Order: sequence, then structure tokens, then C-alpha cells
Amino acid sequence: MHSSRRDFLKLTGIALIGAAVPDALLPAGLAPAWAGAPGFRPDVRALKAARWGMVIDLAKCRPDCTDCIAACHAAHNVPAFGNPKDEIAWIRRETFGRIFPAQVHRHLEPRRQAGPVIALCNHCANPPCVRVCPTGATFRRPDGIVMMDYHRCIGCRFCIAACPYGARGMNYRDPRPFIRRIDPGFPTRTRGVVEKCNFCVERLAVGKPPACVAACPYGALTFGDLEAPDSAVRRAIAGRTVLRRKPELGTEPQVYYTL
Amino acid sequence: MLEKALHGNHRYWGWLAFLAVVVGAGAFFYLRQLDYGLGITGMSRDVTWGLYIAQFTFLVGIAASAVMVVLPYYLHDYKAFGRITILGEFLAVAAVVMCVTFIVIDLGRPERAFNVLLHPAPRSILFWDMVVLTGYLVLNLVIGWTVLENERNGKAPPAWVKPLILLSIPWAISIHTVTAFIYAGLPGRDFWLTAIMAPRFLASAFASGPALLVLLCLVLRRWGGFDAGREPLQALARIIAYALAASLFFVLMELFTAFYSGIPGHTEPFRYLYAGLDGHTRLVPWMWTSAVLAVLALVLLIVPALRRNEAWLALACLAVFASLWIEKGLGLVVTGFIPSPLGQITEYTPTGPEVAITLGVWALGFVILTALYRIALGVRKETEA
Amino acid sequence: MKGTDRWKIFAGLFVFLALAALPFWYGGWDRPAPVLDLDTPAIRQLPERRCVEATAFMRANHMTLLADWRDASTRDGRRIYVARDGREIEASLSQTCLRCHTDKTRFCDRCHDDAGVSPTCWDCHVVPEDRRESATVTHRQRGEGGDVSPFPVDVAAREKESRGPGPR
Repeated sequence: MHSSRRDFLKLTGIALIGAAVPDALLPAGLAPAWAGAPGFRPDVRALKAARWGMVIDLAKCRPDCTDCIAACHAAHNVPAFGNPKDEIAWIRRETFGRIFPAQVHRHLEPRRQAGPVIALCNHCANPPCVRVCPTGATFRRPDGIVMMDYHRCIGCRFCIAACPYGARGMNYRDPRPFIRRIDPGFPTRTRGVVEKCNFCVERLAVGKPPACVAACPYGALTFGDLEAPDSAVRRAIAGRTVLRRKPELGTEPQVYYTL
Repeated sequence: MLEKALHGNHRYWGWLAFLAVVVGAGAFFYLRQLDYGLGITGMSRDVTWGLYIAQFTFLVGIAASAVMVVLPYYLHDYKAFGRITILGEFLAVAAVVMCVTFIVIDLGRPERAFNVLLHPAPRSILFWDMVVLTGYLVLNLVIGWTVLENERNGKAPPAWVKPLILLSIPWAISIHTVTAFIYAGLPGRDFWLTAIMAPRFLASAFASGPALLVLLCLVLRRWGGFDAGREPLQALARIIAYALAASLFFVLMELFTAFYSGIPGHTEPFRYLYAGLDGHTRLVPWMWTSAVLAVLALVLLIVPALRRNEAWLALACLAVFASLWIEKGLGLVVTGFIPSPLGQITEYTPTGPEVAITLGVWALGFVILTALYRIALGVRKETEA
Repeated sequence: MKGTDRWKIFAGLFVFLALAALPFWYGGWDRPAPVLDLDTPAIRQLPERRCVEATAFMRANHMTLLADWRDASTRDGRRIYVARDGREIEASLSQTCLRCHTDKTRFCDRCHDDAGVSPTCWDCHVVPEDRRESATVTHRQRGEGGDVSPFPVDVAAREKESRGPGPR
């Protein structure tokens, strides 16, 4: 019997008697992200954080590159409907002016205003989409990821109305014929459900960084634990002027942009 | 009592047959929608709620407005409404059924609708909307039916109905308040983010609902063999006048706040509605029609000589209904999505199948309304004979 | 109630029950159980032919097991299932079940068609034959860890040998 399994059983026993064990007391790498019922446990390779976040360095992002979008959309079977009416995007490339309208002024250099800014779900700490979802299909995990359970979504689109970032898309029709190459490693969606970026929970679960972060050739994307003072994301924003999208709405976006 | 709905003259059956055809056409296109997805409608990435949710919103108001006959009759013992209270309650029943149907047909995965009960989320306003709408439907059905049945048997309604009637009054307010909260609590949708959304909804509901009731009474007098009498219609006309004035007042208040503050997020949707935004003017003619009709109706309802003339009253009620349908059943929902969170303007036009499905649901509502009114008036005729 | 009415009511009830039992009339009362094809290359290679749980359990309860897998992995992030015999298995329909049961039509569909149920799993989860251009190397198969090892694999061993790169 593997030691990890023994540890797991011990852990299960502890969880069963209801004792809250501080992660520090557990063997390294075995601390479950949250308490588990017997029968299931997280992959020990899973990356963990108190709050996942992303930093996007706009100075490094190039206007001629869409590698992050391509990687994300390929990894998650995001359909390309080819028309703006049905369009769904987990990451989209927009202009600075559209993403940060409050920063636009008459004397902003046109190059800057039209410069590329990628936009994805902000995985808000105070997510309105989670608040309005009538079935719990959209929920926030303890590590801060705002996640969708596509099995449960009824397609009411209340979350889309609630999202101030346009980060969500509705499958107005069967998406499968519009996926160029179906990756068997990730499910597709079905007609009638809403979808959005999941911060690559499926990759974090097996110890890999998000697909967009891995794909960026310029190192413009940094991903990590915003609660850990020495994490890559915290170092990336330390001493920098940071923008977040519509912070005045109180949604507490966890995607930071540095100029 | 139900059997009364199965007896009627040729006009009754002809009307039902006509409605059945419209329902059938709607059902046909709904099957197409189930097969293809909501992409069959004019809804898009940016405008994700359209005609269906707008009809739902408008009809919650119609349902809530039953309180405008229930309250004077039961709380103030206003006898003139005695003859039409049942009509108001049954109108509410038909309207709530339409509301629920519109919600269901708007779902991307309607077969999962019961997830709302299976995984209740009390933080979601939609959860509470389901609770209050279901409760309101049951209340009106039980109250209307019990009162009617006892009327037929020549008895006073049982004592337990009275508390239900009293409960139905605040409950009516609650359904439209909760419906307003669906919109008024969303960050980033500035057009909807207004504390007077619920009062505005109620004001427009208390105008459009009684207006419909007046029209229904006039129709019943002409073709249904039932005369509600002059007085209740005049009383309703006064209610409509006050409610319409309040509704217009609220809209003007919204305009003041938006344009005096000059905050773009607040002015842009109104500019889109009444002047067009960046060349996008699709709703402008509709909104001005609505505005003109509302003012016209207000004049007709305020001037006593015109109000007392039932031809003018009918015209005024038509104008009120059309005006508020445009405002709420078209403009209010769609414009919340314009401009989009990324500042883009995507206009919305319902598609043919979408309109056919919408008409089908309205026809379904009228089937229910017709049958319920047939029962109510059949009982009336029996007791008065 | 008049006698004629009673007759009508019972006749109506009889017709209703007869119609409601239509599936039984149509399909016959004792039909042979569908034969499932377990002869796939992946299953042939197994040292011991044993599913996630015992066959009888799987036959009766696979749908609730899958629902538990779904909730545990999607909602709680607990993606490893510990079977009753202690093996630890990735809780994934397409990554685990379909690795062995590669032929959906000759396995899943046979029973589902017979029982007249149409699960919606496949609307999203990719069935092997749906894997368009499956020869294409995808990010999952780019030689990363034990993703391609045959089932049933004890994931603990796999986890030990490959800890993926951390975030930058």
C-alpha cells in the first residue's frame, strides 16, 4: 500500500471526526484544498492557493500575437461560430479603450488607446454572477476561482446580465460543429448553457499552470497565489501601477493589469 | 364548475379555435427552438434577454395589478368592484401562467428548470421570483375559485379565505418588486441600477393592468353577455390616470438624474432609447410612439368629459396598454444591454419564430383567461337568473 | 352517478392504462438482456478484468457513481476516486471509463437503447469516435505525466513520478 494512501485514510479519519487540522500539521503536499468525504480526494499534484490571481503585463503583450487565446480555446473546446451574434470567447483581445474606458482621454496617444488588451473572467472575489445564479451552477471555490458546473446550468443568462465585464458567453446553438479540433481531454459544452474562463482548474488540478500562461511567448501573463507575499503575481505587481477593470463596482477582480 | 368552460356558443368556440391555432403555431416554432437552441431568436452575445423576458416582466405587472380591484373591494368595501373582482383575480392567474411560460421558454435548458428547486439558491433573485410567482398563482386561483363556488351555492365565502385575500394584497406588490430586483441589483448595468425601479414597475403595472381590465370589460359587454356597469369602469379609469401619471413622473425623474448628472453610463441608454446612439436608432420610433400615447392617454383620462365617454375611455386604455407594453415589454429589458460592458452597441430585433412563440404564449394566456371568464360569467348568470 | 357514466369512466380508465403500458406491449414482457461488448483492446490488456467497482455494482449503480464523480470533481475539485478495494482512480468519464469502454455503441448504447433512456453525458463529454483528428498531439498528451497510461491505474504511483511544473 502506498504511503500517500495511508495518509489519505488518516486524513479521512480526521475529517470524519470533524477536527479542523491546520494545513501546516499535515505532510507536505497532502493538505487537501478543502475537507474531503471518504471516497474522493484531490490529486496530490494539484496546485493550491488561498486566492488564485493573474497579472497581465500590457508592456509585454504584443499586438500581433494571439497565442494565449488560441491555446485557451483549443484546450477548452471553445467554439468559433464565426459571427458576432453567437460569439463565445474565454479570452478576447480588445483595445485598451474598451477595457479601460475610464482611462481614455482626448490626449491619450491613439496607439495606446488602440493597443491590445486581453480580457478574461476576472474571478471576482465578490462575483455578481455567483450571487444571481439560481441553481448554484456558477460558484466560487475556496481558492477564489469562479467556476461553472455545466451540468447544472439552466441557461437563464442571469449571470451574463450580472457580469460587468462581458466575460460570459451563451451557447445559442450546438457548439460542437464549430469546434475546429475537439480536444478529448476536456468536455465540450452543450447548446443552451453559459460558459466562461475557468482559470484552467483542470490543469491546476494536475499541477500545470493555465494554458494561456503556458502559451504566452513573451511572459506577459503571470499566475499565482495573490495571498502569498512572495508569489510570482505579488512580485509582478509590487511597486507597479496596477489597473483592474471597473474596480468601483466592488466586484474585486483578481486579474491585474500592469502598464 | 369546470364544466361551464365546455359550454358556449359558436363565437366562444370560434375564438378558442383561433387561439388554438396561434398556440399551435407557437408550439411548432418552440419545437424548432428546442432543436436549434435560443439562437433561433434575435438574442445575441451582447443582448442576452429579449422579447421573452420583456413579456415576462410586463405580464408580472398585469398579474400584480389585480390588487387594484381586490384592495378597494375587500379593504375599503368598495362595492362597485364586486362584479369585477373575480375578473381581476382570474386575469392575474392567466398572466402568471404566461409569466412562468415565458421564463421556461427563455431557458437554454428548460428540462433542467427544476434545478431551481433541487439546488435552491436563496441569494438569487430568480429563486425568490419563483417563490412569489408560484405563491401568487396559488393565492389567486384558490381565492377566485372559492369565492365563486360559494357564490354559486348562494353562500358567503368561508372565513379562511379572508386572510388569504389580505395576504394576496402585499403579495401582489411583492411579485413586481422582486421582478424589479432582478434588474435593479446588477452592477455595471447602469440603466437598470435605479432604486425607483420597483416603484416604477408598480406604477406602470397599476396603469397597464387596469387598462387591460377595462378593455376586457368592454369586450365582455359587447360580445360576452356581461355588463360590469359604468361605475367600476370609471373607478378603474381614475386608478389608471393616477398610476399613469406616477409612471410618467418616475420616467422623468430617471431622465433628470441621468442627464443632470451627465454620467455617460446613465445617459447613454436613454439617448439610445429616445435619440439613438452612434447612429443606432432602432427603438427610437417605438419609444416616441410610447411617449406620445402615454401623454395622449393621460389627457383623455384626466379630462372628465372624455373619461366619462366610454369610447374615449376605450381609446385611452388601448393607448395606455400599448404605451406601457412598448416601454416595458420592449425597451426596458433590451436597453439594459446597450451599450454592452465593452461599450459596444448591438441592436436587437426579434426574429419571426421568436415573435410566433411569443404570440403563442399570449394566446395560451388568453385561452386560460377565456375559459376562466366563461366559468365566472356562467356562475354569475346562474345566480342572477 | 348514473350507471352509464360509471361504465364510461371504467372504460376510459382501462383504455388509459392500456395506453400507458404501451412500452410493455410494444417491447414484449420477457426480452433477452442486451449483450454488452467488453472485448476492447484496452480491456484485453488488463492484468485483471475489473471495473472501477464490482460488475454487479457497476451495472446497477454506474449512473449514481458517475453523478458522484461529477459533483466531487466539478464542484469540490476532488478528482481522485478511492474505490472500495482501495484503488485510486481518476474520476473522469472520458479519461477513465471511455479508455476501456472505447466502443460506446457496443457498450453504453446497447443498454441505454434497450432501457429507452438517453443520457445527455455525450452532449459534452467526448466519445472516442468523436475525437476529431485524434492523432493530433494535444496539450494533454504532450508527454506530460501518466495521462496516457492504461486504466485502471493507481493514480498515487503516477502522482509520485510526475509533479507538474508550478506556476511561474
